Amino acid sequence: MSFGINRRTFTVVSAAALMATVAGSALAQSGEYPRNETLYMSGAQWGNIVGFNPYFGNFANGLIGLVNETLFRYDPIADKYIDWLAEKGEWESPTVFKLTVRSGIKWSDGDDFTADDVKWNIDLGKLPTIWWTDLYKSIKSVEASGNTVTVTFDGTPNYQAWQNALWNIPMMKPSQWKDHANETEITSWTPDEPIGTGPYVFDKAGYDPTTRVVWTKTPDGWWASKAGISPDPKPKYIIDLVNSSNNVALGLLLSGKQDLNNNFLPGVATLISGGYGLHTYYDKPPYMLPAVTSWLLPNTKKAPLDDAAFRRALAFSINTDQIAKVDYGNVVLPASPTGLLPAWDKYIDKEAVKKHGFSYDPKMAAEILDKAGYKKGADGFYQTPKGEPIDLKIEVPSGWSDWMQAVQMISADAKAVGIKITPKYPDFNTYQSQRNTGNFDLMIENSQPLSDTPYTYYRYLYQLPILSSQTNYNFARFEDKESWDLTVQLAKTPRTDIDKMKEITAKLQVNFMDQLPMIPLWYNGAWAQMSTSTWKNWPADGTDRQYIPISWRGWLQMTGIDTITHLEPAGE
Amino acid sequence: MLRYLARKLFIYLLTFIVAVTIDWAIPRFMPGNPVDALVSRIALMPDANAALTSYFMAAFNLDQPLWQQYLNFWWALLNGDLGRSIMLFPTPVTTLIGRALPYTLGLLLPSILLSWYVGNVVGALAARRKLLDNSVLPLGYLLTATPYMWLGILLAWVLGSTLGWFPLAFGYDQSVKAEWSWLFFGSLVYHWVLPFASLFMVALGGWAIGMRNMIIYELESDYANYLMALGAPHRLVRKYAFRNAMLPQITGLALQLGAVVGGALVTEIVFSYPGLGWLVLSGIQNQDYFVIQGVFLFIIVGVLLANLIVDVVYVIVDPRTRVGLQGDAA
Repeated sequence: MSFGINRRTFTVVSAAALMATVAGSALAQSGEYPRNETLYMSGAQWGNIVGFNPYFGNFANGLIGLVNETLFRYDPIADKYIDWLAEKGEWESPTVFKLTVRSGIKWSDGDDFTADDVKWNIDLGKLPTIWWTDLYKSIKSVEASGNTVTVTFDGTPNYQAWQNALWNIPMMKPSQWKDHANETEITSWTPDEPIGTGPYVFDKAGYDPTTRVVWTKTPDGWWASKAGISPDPKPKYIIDLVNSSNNVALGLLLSGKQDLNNNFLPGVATLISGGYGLHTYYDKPPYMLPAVTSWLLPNTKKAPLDDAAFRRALAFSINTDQIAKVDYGNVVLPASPTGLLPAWDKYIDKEAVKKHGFSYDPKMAAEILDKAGYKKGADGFYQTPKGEPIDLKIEVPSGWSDWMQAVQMISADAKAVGIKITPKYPDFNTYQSQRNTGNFDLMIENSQPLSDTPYTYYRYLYQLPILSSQTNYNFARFEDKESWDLTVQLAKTPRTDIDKMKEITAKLQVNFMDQLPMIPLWYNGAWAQMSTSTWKNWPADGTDRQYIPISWRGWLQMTGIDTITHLEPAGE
Repeated sequence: MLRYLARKLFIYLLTFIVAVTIDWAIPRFMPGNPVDALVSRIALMPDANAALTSYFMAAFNLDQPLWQQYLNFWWALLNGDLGRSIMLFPTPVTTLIGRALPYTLGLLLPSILLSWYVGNVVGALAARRKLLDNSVLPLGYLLTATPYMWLGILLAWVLGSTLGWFPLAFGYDQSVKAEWSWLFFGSLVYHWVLPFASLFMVALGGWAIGMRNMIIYELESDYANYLMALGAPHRLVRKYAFRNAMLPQITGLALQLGAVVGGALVTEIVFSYPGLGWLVLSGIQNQDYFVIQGVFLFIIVGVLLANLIVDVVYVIVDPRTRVGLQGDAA
């Protein structure tokens, strides 16, 4: 009997020992990403992560830039292009562009990165669902030989769009994608593990589509640091977190659990100056680099918004200084009447702005309306010259608190002049579908970000023809043949011919300010709150690290990646 | 017994059909088109847009007439196919639910069963004990009247944000690898505490009050008075009272299930907890018909099944039902 009990005891003890060993070994291989080797970023990903297809909107953030790199990059602060996977790219003749592919670059599966790979990726443009397909239609041939790729255009190329595409087309591994390079799968299929040339690879064990994607430093080393072009990034892991809500993000940031936060956090101005150890690009207002113009979007197919005089009156009635100060706590700057971002300041015609521009002036707004034949009704609000009441809706997505407050202020400003505008807050999808189908009066819109050329802004403002559904450009549905022709002319101007670009944009600016197809309000910032608790050497104005501290899709291949490669552990 | 069950099953089947139909219809009443939202996420040239829109419309069978979509839905459902998610195309909805379900069940089962058990015990103890009653009753009313998410926010604020004792969000810590290690398991439990506590506490209040009232009622009934008159010990009388008082509480459990599930959904949202509630929220935000349908279908089936179990349990627990049924059958 007693022997039996002993045996049982023995079994229990040995089982416990076994479990302890298993647990111990699990701990030994450390089930944790060490904090001092990990960079946490957040701000790009809303909702679940949708795999690793760079042509589908919600792909794992960091894919382009950390894994799939681009031929060139663009530095918006210095306004210069950076040779990247291509070591050279130039126009051999006005219609022939020659690329030289850098040697010694390997894909993460060990294969060499070749000129054929580049050709394959450019040729994807033949698929109608690829975003540069219009540009590709003007390409006569793409030929790879040795380490060069020669692209021959049919007629005068769209220089500006080509230049823009060169630093935005991600290089994907042809052997991984070739069976899926068709019209539909190219925007919907996803590989399990992306193959790229970049400094990081996908860490499958850490992937959780609801909360995070983990990137690990590529085990064989990164070509750019081997070639001495870039410092080797210090973080061994980069974890991009899904945004849940502003308060959760703020909590994580303030407790040092997030390093780079690229969200707009309401009230952030007080936190920055409040001693919470948060770093921003500028150490005084506006703290953030300007990233995109926020516009008041009128539906120019609807009366009275089809009248340029009415739109100009509206522009004169809005106090954007007040919005920047009260709503944003000075983390944004009021926009130039041209709508062009400060990065494009050299294109702005200051004389024209003086003559054709606008500023907050309610008296002037009333004057314009009176002159154009608008009269006030018994309720004190203006009516159309035909005597019909004016009652406009202004819509922003529900929950976008900064915009919600802004439209309340706009509505109050307009009321002071005598224009009746009522704020409405539909959910984001409704907002978006109304915008695309033209079923709205007024909205706030800011989907066209900073780029290497003002051409992208004018395409956004003027693109013709107007279709039943406008998905990217000309949401105002503004038909101005002259301005669109000028935009096309701008497109066909080489990116190196700055004088010609200035000449055309000057004409466009005058047209723009006279017509105001959209009304520029303020520059939304490149929201970047950085924590200095784990990593230091963040980009800052006045240092030699003038990089854009932004992890949003499309920004890593600007100088977002330089932000990461220049980080140093804060402990040292 | 069998006839009783058959009748019950028939009612459940009917409820199921109606509920599933409503479940199918409601997302489709939402304004806008989910495919538009999907396509506009892919930066496209205008003419490619139309091509891709029609591809996706066909892929989701949304180009068919509504009655056809409805029939397709039933056919697919009977084949165990809940369709593919729109927002996470091409992931099947069953995969998404499979990923989220453990989190929701992990919250729901313990909070429902524990709050019911603890609530009943506390309520029974409180009845006719002045001191305890004076504290349990007001606290119970306060808790049961508290909306789930509000208590959740309160807990997150005090215990998470201010005191920093518990994490504010997610199913496990961001720095932990999702593998079978003690670290991961510990992190799961750590992140589970607050959402569990907010569900548990709200439900607890209701059960405690219900039980207290029932016990007082039972102690004043004839059989209790008779037992007392016979000189039976207090403990014995209370024991009988407790067993009788349990019956309405079991029915109550069935009735409460729906509310608790709803509470769990909003609680998950408060804590960014990656369960079904979190999933259905992003489904609604992206107008993902199939995810919304799938999640609610799961909830419908879950609540109906739980009700069925409670019905069966009731028959076992209450001998009078059994007698009644047998009498009925004879």
